[in-house]
Amino acid sequence: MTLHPAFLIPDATVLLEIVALLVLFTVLTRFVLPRLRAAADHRTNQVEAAQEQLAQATAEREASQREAARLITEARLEAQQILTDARSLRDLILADARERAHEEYASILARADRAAARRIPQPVGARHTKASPGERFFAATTRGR
Amino acid sequence: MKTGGWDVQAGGLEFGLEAVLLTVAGGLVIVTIAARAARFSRRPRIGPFVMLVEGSLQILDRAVTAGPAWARRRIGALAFTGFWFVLVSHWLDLIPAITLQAPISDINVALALGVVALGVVHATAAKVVGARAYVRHWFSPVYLFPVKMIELVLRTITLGLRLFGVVFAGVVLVDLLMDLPPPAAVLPLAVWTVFDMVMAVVQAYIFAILTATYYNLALTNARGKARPAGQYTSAAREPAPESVRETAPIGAAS
Repeated sequence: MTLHPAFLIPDATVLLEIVALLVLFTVLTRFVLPRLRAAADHRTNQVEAAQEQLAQATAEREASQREAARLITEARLEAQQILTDARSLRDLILADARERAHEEYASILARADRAAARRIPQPVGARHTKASPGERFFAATTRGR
Repeated sequence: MKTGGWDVQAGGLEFGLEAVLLTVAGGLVIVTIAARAARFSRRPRIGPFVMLVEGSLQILDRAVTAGPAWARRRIGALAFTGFWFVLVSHWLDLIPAITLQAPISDINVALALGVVALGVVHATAAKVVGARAYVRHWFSPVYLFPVKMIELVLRTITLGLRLFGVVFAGVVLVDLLMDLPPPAAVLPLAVWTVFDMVMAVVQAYIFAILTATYYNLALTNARGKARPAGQYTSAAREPAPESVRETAPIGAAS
């Protein structure tokens, strides 16, 4: 290593260095960095716009999710109501059918009693018995055995 | 160290052209790096190179907090220039195929860097608050003027000498290691090279942050003396947002 005899003492080179550094600073400030900053600002604006869109889309998605949840809840309530109504209707239909079946049963039985009464001769005093016509018919047919 | 090469005499002054040419070469490298980054940054997808250059500019821009936007941008550009110049000029001597001296290892380059940084800092601060007000704040109070001058000169010198000392010590260490027998010198040289590269980044960052800090301090001090607090003009400082003013402590605005 060969050191300059006065390597710690600045000389007139410092003036040229100052000029060179000022030129470098001026070139960078005037011509290069504005383009770099413009591109960076443009990208920053794009990112901010994208973030804004993302926030908007997120808000819309959350609103849609809330609307979907509300619709699902309403549909469930409606389905529950329909089910309840259907069960009530079923019970009504069943009750009505049972009532009609009873009526029809009673009607058939009455017709059968009347038919049996026409075919079987009435024993003496049978008017006052409380047996049904079927029983009376059975008693009449088995009396001679 | 002074390179001592290509010395020329002009007007009774001695100029070392090697250091100047190395500075110009470093400057060309920086302009090329920044220009390529600016060109590539217009692409839809940017790479790590553009991110590095843009990121360094944005970090240094954010370090400048005082003054209007144009002044912040100018000092940000100054810090960016200093950061990359220190980095590139430090790394120039790490290229193994070329025996280049780091320009910053010349005391003239280091001092010039400090003079340019402090000169632009104070010129910008004077433009922000007004030349008369800026000069007046140096004499307020008058008896502190010598102390402030000493502080100014010392800051200018130490800003450059710090870099010079670090790089010079590295160059001396490498020269000492080169005197060792080759098998014994390989490992220390490799370790030192890696360490030197990292240290160059640290030194460049310190230089840039100090530049921004000196500007912030200069402007804050000048404003404090030039105008009562809270009476800044709109050109000098944008008013604080409502939320900040509302949450300021009682008496802070008066």
